[in-house]
Amino acid sequence: MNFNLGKQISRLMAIIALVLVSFSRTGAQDAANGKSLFETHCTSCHAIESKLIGPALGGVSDRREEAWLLNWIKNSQAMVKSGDPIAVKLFNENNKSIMNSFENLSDGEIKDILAYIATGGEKAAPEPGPGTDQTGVTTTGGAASEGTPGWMIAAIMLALIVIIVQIFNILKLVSDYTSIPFFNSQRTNAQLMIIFLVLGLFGAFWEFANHGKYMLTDNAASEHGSSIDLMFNITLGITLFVFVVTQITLFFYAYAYRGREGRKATFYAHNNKLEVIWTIIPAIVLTVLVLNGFNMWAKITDKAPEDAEQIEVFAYQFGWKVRYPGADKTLGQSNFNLISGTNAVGVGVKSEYNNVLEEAKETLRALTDERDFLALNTNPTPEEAEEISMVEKKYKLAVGHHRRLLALANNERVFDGTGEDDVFPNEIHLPVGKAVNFNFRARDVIHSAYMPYFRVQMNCVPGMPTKFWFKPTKTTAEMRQDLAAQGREDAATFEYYLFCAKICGAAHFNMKMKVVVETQAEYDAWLKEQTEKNSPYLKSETPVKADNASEASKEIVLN
Amino acid sequence: MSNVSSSAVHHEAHEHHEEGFIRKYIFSMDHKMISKQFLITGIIMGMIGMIMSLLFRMQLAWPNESFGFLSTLLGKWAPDGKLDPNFYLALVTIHGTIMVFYVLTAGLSGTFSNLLIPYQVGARDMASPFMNMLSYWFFFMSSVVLLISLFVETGPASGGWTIYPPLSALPEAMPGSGSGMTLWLVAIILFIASSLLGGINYISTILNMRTKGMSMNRMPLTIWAFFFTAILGLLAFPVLLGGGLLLIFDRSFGTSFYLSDIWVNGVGALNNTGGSPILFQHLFWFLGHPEVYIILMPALGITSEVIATNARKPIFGYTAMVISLLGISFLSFLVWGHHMFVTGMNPFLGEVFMILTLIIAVPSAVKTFNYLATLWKGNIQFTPGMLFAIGLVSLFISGGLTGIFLGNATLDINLHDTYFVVAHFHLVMGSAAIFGMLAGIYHWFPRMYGRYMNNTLGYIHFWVTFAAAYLVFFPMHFMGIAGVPRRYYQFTLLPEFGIWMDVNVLITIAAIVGGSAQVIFVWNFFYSIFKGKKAPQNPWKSNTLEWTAPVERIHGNWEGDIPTVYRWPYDYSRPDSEEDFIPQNVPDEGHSEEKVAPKTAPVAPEHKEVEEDNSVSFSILKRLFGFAR
Repeated sequence: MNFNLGKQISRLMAIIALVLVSFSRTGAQDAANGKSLFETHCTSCHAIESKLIGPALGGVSDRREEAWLLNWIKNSQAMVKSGDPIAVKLFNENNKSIMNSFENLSDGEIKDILAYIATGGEKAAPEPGPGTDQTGVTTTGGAASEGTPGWMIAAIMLALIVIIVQIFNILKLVSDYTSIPFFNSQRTNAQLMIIFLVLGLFGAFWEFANHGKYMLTDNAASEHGSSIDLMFNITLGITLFVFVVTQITLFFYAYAYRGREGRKATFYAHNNKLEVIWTIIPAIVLTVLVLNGFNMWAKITDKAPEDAEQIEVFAYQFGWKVRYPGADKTLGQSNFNLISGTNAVGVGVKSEYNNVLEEAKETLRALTDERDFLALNTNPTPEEAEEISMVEKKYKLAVGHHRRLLALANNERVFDGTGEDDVFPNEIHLPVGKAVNFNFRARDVIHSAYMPYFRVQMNCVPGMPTKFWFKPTKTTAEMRQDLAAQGREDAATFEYYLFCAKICGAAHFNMKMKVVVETQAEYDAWLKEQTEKNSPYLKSETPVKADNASEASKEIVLN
Repeated sequence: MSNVSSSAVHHEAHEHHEEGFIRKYIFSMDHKMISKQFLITGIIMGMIGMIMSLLFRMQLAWPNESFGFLSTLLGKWAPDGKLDPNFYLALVTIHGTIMVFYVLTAGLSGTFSNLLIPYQVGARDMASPFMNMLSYWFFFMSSVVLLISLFVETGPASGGWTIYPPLSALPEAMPGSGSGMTLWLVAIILFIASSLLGGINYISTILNMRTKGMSMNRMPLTIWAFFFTAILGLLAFPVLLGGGLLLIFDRSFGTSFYLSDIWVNGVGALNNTGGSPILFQHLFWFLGHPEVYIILMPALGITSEVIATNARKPIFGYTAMVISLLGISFLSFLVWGHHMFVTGMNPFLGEVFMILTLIIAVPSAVKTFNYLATLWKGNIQFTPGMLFAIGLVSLFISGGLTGIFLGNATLDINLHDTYFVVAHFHLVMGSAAIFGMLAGIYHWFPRMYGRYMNNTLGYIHFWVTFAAAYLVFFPMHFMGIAGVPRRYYQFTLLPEFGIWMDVNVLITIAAIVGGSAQVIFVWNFFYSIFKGKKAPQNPWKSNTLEWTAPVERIHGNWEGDIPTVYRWPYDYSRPDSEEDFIPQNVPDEGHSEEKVAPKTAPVAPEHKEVEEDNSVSFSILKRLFGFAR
């Protein structure tokens, strides 16, 4: 009864959401909010139509009860451990990839996401909005909708090869039979050398003409980026010159000195003068390039200016968290032991510490009991032995976690209060023309924060905080204008992004976060709004307000 | 080496040879058979690696398609005919591992070092035939273990061929880091054992077993290349072994060499503290960078020999070629940090590595110019081997020049881990080394099997492969410069990369076509073993010693005495000679100019006799491993 009711309700909700979306876009608050939440939290592992890391989500509200979904999304591992049959089955079906827990999402927010999924994700007509590049989508869609042209071409090419081989075989038979040489391998190969050279150089030029405008060589949006671009272009000029000259020489020699009957090669075994020349010249050119790069590198990796904005970017499987320092302009200290559902980056905040410690104590107590109970079994079967060793492993982790948390208790440095006012927005915003110091951390494996348009890349290494500072010089709007001037089709919808560039697991390809550069005034306004909305620890003392954070902490208390 | 003892070994070995099929074809101690074993295993592994690359290329070109045969082939790893993202990464990882280690290290160096070192220095076999056999069988076991890891429930290793921890250390972070990763590490440790056994053998053979008159400066450039390669391998591989063992400790015994401050989803905070993931990268790239030259130098050595022979000209600047090999070998140990510019290591280290990296471009440039000068005014014979050697030079230029961008830390910031890197190393050490290997196969096939490979098929193979290599890897430069990161499963969720869809399709089609050309090669290879045209003793009119041995590949290589060497190997088209080549064993009638043909007086046989080592350790080695001295 209950099951059916839940199903009906969720169906109804889905239908309502659908109707709302299709009839009045503006009124579909739920699905619209769900869309942004979906893109922030889910797309790294899920798509609506197809399986990614996790299963396809289309029609998920029909497949499962809503209550089940809420539990699952908040903490899937707890469900697997509790032995929920569907949960265990799902976990095994998906190669035991662990789904992130979203304890910080409120029921309302999850329902919004479900409503958005029920709309089918607007797959038919992608809304030209932030992050959706119209041309890109059509190109992608095109490849899919035209069936399998690539396959056909590949098959045709294969057939062509077979035909070429056959033609050669036939010609060879004919020439053997008539004893007329039909082709002189020396001459043909020499001619092919020239053809290859010409086609190759033309191909490189064609590619450059077509895609050159997408190359990041003269549109840096940061101060140091412009110098990198200059150096890149100088290096490109030199290498391109060497490339063209040596390739032409190589293929031309191959053609010009092809073997002919009765000809003898020139015996010319060495020339020290020549050797010296072509050792010294590359050495000098490289020295110039090195010194140039050397100076730039020193400048780029130098200390950030005192007044730089401090921002923390925290990488995890699979996504990014950003942290702004709040009113005190100082990022709070953090510790990996403090990470929890409500404290994603492990900021040193006393109230969070107490929660985590409480939880750790609870876990430890439960595991101690379980371990003591299992120890009574003196003659375990192999399966039981496996379970015992699993529990033992967990117990060791729990002991370690608990011990480290206790050691943190009076750590003045971690709980210096600077973390209380930290702000956690869902996007990165930067003021134009002001130095920003990015502090990178990672939770689980190495990630790499890559922002190509700022010419910025730095690995995020667990246990080793890294830094990169730069000064953005173009707002998003200015960049769009510049790109439009370069003739880029995607200029109108251009956004800066933060990508992951270091292989970090299944959804490595899908870690991105929007970066917005704006004027100081816009930035200040945005930061003010974010401070009100997304600074959970500042408000945890004064609850009531029905925003994400306080609702999330309430959930925890209820749990 | 003394003739008496060597012919004794010859007879002894000859008796083994008669023992039958297993001794002759499987547990053979004959360097020629072992080189064929390496080659054929290498070709098989190469085909597997290539097919893997085609599978993930298909995913990149047609991410929205579903291919029915994939789910038949891969089962749960391709549900609904679409690759699973975890398996995509597994394919990328195993493709890299197979190509770098199994094809281009063992398949290339193992094959040609084994074949050519005894032949070209004039020895009856390797210093230790038994260790040589062990080397192959360690390699074989290693290949088997790696292939077994493909069938593990949680999938093979999938953290990239560089297996950076913590990703590779934590089974919770990625299914491939479970038992698949353990098997990967076991495979690599076996591989290192194989590589070390081989390397010691190559070095001792080259140093101790050269025939009369074969002074170091009369050795063909192939032998110089194998010599430096073996030294690099011997010094670098143990470091990877160490790094790998520490990773095994971290994975299985709870140590924290590479792990610190980690919180994993589904597990929580780990107990590991104090380790550094960057430490692994230092250890890995201390092997990893010399490894690049371990791959490339044999290919360059083969090219030197093939180009000189087929241009009918002495290699230009023999001494400069040897010195640049030496320079590359030395510097290759000091540049590993250029793989780590953006790891957050001390910027000062970045500066040091940047300088050393760009210095290494100089000897590489010298080699290229010398190849060009060798072709100048030559009489070029376009055999398939020669075509591949010319192709290598072209690819080496294209790929080498982009190294100047990546070696510059400042430019590396924006190019690191993008398709630019993929383009760079696939051209300079992937394609170029494969071309060197293919040049070697076509050139020495008559030496290995007494038959030619089919020329026409060879030409088709070359031109299709050459075009495909450029079509696949050249466009990737543009993607990289546009900031497209590598190892992405698909770009459909990132619309800003949508413009590269067409390019991805082009690359994949070129890869499929290039892949089919390899089928022609494999067919040509196996067909020619049995049915190829019979080759004469010295089919390419070459100077080196291997072509003075009888076509029937007999045990001990030469009937009767080993030929004595009187000249350097590059006396092609001497103006004072009728023929355009003079083999090394042709006595010098005193009209060669000292300057042109470096030489030393032939070493008297009794002079070497004195060096017999009677120490206890050596006699144990002799008994255990059958050192033949």
